[in-house]
Amino acid sequence: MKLKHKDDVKAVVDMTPMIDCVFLLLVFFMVSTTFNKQEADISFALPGTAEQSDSVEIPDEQIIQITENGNVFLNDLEYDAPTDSDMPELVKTLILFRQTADANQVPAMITIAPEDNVKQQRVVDVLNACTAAKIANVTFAVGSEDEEI
Amino acid sequence: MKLKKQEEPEASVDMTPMIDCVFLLLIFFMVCATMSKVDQTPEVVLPIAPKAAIPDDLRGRGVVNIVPLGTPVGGGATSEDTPFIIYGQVTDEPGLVKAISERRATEPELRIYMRVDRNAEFKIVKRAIRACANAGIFDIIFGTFQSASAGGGS
Repeated sequence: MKLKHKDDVKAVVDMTPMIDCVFLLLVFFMVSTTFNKQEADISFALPGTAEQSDSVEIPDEQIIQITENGNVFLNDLEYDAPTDSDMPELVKTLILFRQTADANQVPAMITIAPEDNVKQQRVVDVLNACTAAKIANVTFAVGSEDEEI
Repeated sequence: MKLKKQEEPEASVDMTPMIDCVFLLLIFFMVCATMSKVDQTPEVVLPIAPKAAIPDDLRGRGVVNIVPLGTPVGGGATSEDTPFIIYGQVTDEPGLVKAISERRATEPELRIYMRVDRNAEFKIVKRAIRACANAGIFDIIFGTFQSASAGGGS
């Protein structure tokens, strides 16, 4: 009796659909990651509480006021046009201020006091100017009844 | 004369390295996509600050979104009473303080990341800052873009 020769079935996996699928996913994730515009940080800190017994270095503090129209005042002097978002004059003054504070070995501090209707972009412009002048201690005057928190 | 039968070599391309490579890319982009997932309200148009720094460490951040008053968002419209948006839901000042306090209980290093629209008024931001102070958070970050152009920040 003739034995039937058993065929060796070659194990072939067709990978084409999988590759199609993977490519599709790849393209999807690539596109979705580039859609997101990367966000950047501009930070400030609220003044914390200091222990009564701690000896506190009195920082050199300046207050920057922002009016509704976007005018920026430092020590009652107006700096830069309300439309100018780079604020070169303010940055120049702030750099001088920081250098003076550094020379006196006290921390340079900025308090920003915007009026209620000031747009966030203007506030960020001023924060940006502080960052440009490398002043790290920036805070906000936000208290009601002129009370700073 | 016997003609030599021309052998047709089977055109087979080894696809294994390419598939390896594509898989690697796929995983890379998948991880990127999940990492950049934060509580973002798409209605917020961030202000521009060229000197802002792109952060390396995004952990420990609680996000508060603020849009100009009256802007309709997913979870309802913002109003004078409920101007803040957390995870797509509008909330008021006590709600914000509560949410931050609860989160701070589990994450003591919590920092607040405020995504404030460039046209939002400071009085709302002021209330949010006050809420943070009431919840015991003194470290606050404003979200910005480095440039006005679309695409990734430079």
